[in-house]
Amino acid sequence: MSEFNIEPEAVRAGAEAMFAASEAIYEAMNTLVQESSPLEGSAEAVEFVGIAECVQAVQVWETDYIAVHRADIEDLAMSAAISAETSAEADGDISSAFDQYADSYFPDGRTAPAPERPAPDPSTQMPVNGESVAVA
Amino acid sequence: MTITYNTLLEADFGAPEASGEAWMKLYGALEEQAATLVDLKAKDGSAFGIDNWDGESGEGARERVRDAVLALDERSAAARRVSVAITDAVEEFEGAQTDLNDVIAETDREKVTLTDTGSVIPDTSTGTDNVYYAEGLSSRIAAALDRATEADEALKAAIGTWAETFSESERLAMAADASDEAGELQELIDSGASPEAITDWWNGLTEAERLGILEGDPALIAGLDGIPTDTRDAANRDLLDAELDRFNPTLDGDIADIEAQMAAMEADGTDWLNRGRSSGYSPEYEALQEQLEALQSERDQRDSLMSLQDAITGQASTGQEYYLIGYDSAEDGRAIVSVGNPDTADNTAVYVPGTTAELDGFGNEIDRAEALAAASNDVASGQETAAIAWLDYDAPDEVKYDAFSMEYAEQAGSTLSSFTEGLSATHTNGDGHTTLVGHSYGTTVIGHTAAEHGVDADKIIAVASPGLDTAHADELGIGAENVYVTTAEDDGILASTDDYSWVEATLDGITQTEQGRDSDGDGAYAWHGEANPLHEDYGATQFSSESLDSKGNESTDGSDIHGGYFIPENVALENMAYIITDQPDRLQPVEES
Repeated sequence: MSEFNIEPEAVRAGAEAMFAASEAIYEAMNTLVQESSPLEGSAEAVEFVGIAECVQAVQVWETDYIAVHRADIEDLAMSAAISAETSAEADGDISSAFDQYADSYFPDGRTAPAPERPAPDPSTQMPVNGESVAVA
Repeated sequence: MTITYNTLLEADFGAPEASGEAWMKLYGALEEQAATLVDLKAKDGSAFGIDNWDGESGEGARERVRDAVLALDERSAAARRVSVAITDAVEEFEGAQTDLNDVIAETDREKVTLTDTGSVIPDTSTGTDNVYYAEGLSSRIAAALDRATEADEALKAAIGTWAETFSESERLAMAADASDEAGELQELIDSGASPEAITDWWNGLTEAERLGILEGDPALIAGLDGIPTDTRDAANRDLLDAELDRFNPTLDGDIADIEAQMAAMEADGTDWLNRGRSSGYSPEYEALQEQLEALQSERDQRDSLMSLQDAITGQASTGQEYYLIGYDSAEDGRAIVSVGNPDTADNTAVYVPGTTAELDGFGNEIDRAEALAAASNDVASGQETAAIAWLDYDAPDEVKYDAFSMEYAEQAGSTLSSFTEGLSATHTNGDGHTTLVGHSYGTTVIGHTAAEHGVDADKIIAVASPGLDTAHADELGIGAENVYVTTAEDDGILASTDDYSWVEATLDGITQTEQGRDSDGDGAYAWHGEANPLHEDYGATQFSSESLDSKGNESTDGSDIHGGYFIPENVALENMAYIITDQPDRLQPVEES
């Protein structure tokens, strides 16, 4: 592995581009949510199984899939930002370390909420083969 | 769930339609942002390029960007498919609704009573004639409701699959439900069914059955001519993902470890055995060498597949999608990638590369297809041209030893022939216009295929051909007037057909001077086919091309010129675009070059 070397300005610009990408994805997803909201609870969604599936799809994409994409993108953006700001390899708690630089990356505040990864599916947390999930 | 009379009659499909449009916007946004992320690491000087960020974290960042781009690309394709599924369903719903309203409007109330629930009760006071009339109306109402129900079930299956709202058990159930159909398809394949028969059979399935086969047995349809392009693309991408996942994640580290062990043995002299008469590498060192070679081969295969995956990620420069119509990683590897969907395009070009083409470096072949698509879209506004890079054959590895052989073209013949039939069978946008574009040995493949197996194509272009395995263009079966040829002055390939040239060419790294073999100058010589395709006796139309290298610079090097046709700087590309878009009257003939 080659030695660490960084051009902070370039990497900072890359991090900003990634945050912007995350926000653009949020806006597009939000548009889909808004445009699809009349479907929710509609007679068509009740009577047509396909349309009901469309309603579910919007919900799943908003809370799960798109949220995960944005979280992945922003995690990397934060990591890049820390490396750029400190001129060092970033490790440890990236999110907390980024907090001190957040204002310079979002000088006017965020236009989109920070992505939240979905909680684990409880069905995948079930004990198997006698495994104990008791918490001490 | 069966759609009822009142449900269909009263439904308003404006909201689903708007949602479908919003899915398409999301697709566009995800594509756009994926392209933004690609740019972050596209070059060494990019924001996250190695010039700006080196070391472990930089390397890790580039890998994570790649992962994010692949994920977004996959998600955007899903959003596009969801949008198309909703749009198609709405069209069907509205069609069914119209059918129903037509029945209501046309009902003669003096003969029957149409109830609020859609029952048709005949007036039998004047006889039984009205009974038949009522049955006819009932049948039309039932057909409209069936149409809506089928569209509804298709929509559910499509959304569940593409938007991934189905649970694992639902997906398995869908695949299991389609197992009989998968078996039927296997029987069709085994019986040697034509691509057209495959398409007909496929179109007779429900959407849930089609998606069930895709879910349960993608390998069955991934390379099958007659299956729609979009479906083949989804199947092949699934298979490619799965194949890449099977590579050992520690492969690079394992190689580094072995290299380190070998270096240590070389340093302390234990790599070499020197006892009495027996000398040579020690058994331990030889074993490491063997392991290393096997792992390096595995790495090469993985890297080729990753390069293919990168090459088909995102949109083409033309704004069109890439479609992975087929691939195979065995031996030199094979791949078929389309820029744009040939099923819906107005024009289709099938580009067949020649000697040295293989999976490793297939991105260059895709670039050529992309150049053909871009040029064709430029010269025919309002039309879409899809261009396919087709490498579903084992191309000769070397000019010097392999390209003289017809064996490669002979083995490709039935495959290419079937592929063109498949394109024709799955095309849904009018008649379409298909052109086969061969380069170098690729022209031999096309010529042999057309003459011996037949091709479903309108035109053939032979670029820098060493012969089309025919004595006259008529033998290609599409009419000599539809065969076009070009070879730039000083292209090294002229030595394979020409009558006068002394050609300088770099062959296997050595610049050689070769004289053309057609000493009589009567055109009766080619490596393949005993006729120079450029000679007027062959009967093809010659168009102009320039002696440029692949960067667009003027050149006199025969090898460089041989690779310089598929670039915007070369008039050859524009001429090919005129042929592909069926505008041969705009061709620049060879005299004007």
